[in-house]
Amino acid sequence: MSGGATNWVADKLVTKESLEVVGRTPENFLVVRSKDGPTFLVAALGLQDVIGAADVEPLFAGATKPQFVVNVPSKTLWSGAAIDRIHAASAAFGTLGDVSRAAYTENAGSYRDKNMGFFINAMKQHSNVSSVAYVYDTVFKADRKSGASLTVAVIDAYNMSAEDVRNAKARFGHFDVVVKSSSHGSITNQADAAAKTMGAQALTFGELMGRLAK
Amino acid sequence: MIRQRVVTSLRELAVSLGPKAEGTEWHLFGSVDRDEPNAADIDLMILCKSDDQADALRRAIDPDALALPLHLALMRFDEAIEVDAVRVQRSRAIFP
Repeated sequence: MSGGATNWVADKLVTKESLEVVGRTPENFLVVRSKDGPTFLVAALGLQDVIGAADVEPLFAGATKPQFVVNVPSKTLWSGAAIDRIHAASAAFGTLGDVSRAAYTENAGSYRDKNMGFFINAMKQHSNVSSVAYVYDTVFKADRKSGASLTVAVIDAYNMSAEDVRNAKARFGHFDVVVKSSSHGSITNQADAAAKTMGAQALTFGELMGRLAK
Repeated sequence: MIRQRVVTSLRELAVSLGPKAEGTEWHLFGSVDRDEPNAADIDLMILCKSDDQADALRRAIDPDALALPLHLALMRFDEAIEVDAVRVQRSRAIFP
C-alpha cells in the first residue's frame, strides 16, 4: 500500500467535519469514523492509469482486511477484475468522495455507487440481456441473448456534452453506447454528433433500454 | 461556510490557468453551492468558447487538487444554451 497516498487521504479526511481518522492498523489501513457511525478500515492506493486485480489482492491477503479501497488520483480506472476482487471480499471502492458517502452507510463495505448500481440492475433485468460485467468502474459489457454484446460507458452527467463523449473515448477507448447517468437533463446535439463520429451512440437511460432490445 | 472557501479556491484556479481559461464562464451547482455541510464533492460546470478549449481545460484541471473531489462538466456556450444548462442545473456563476 502506498504510504504517500495513505497520508494524502488521511490529510484530506481530517478536513471534513463529519469524519475523523482515529488510527492506523499495522497494515497502514486508516481507521475512519463518521461522527455518528461505526469505524471502518480504508486502504489507500496511489496508482496511475488502471488498477488491476493484482494491485488489490495484497490488501485482502492478511487477517485484517479493509472495508473500503480508495485510489488517488481519482481519474485512475478500476478494472473489472479489481472490482470483482474487492466486492468478493465484501468491500467497496471509489474516490475520496465515495469514502464520505460510504461513511453514512451502515456497513461501509456494502457501499456501491448509486448510479452504477441502478444501471447494472436495469441492464441485468432487461429481457434480452444474459449477463452484465464491469469493464471499468463506469463501463460495462452487456451480453445479449439476441444480438452482439454491447460495451456501455456511463457518464456521470446531468447534461451530456461533446466534451463528455470525447473524454470518455480518451479514457475508456472503445464503447458502443455512451449513456448519461441522470434521468434528468439532455444530450446536446454536439454530443450526439461526437458519438456518431466514433461509431457509437449517445443515449438516455430509456434509449439504452431500447438499444439493448435490438 | 464550505461554499465561500470553494468559490475562493476555484477563482484562484481559474486565474492560475491564464489564457486557457480566457473567455470561459464557471458555474457552481449542487451540494457545495447549496452550502450543505456534508457535501462530498464539488459540482462545477465550465462553459467554453471551443472544443479545443474544453479539451485543454480537462487536461489542465486536477480533480483532486481542491478541498473536495471536483466533478467537472465542460461544454461549449452554444451547447449550454441549447439545453438551458445554467437554469436547469440551478447553477450560479462564480467566474469571471
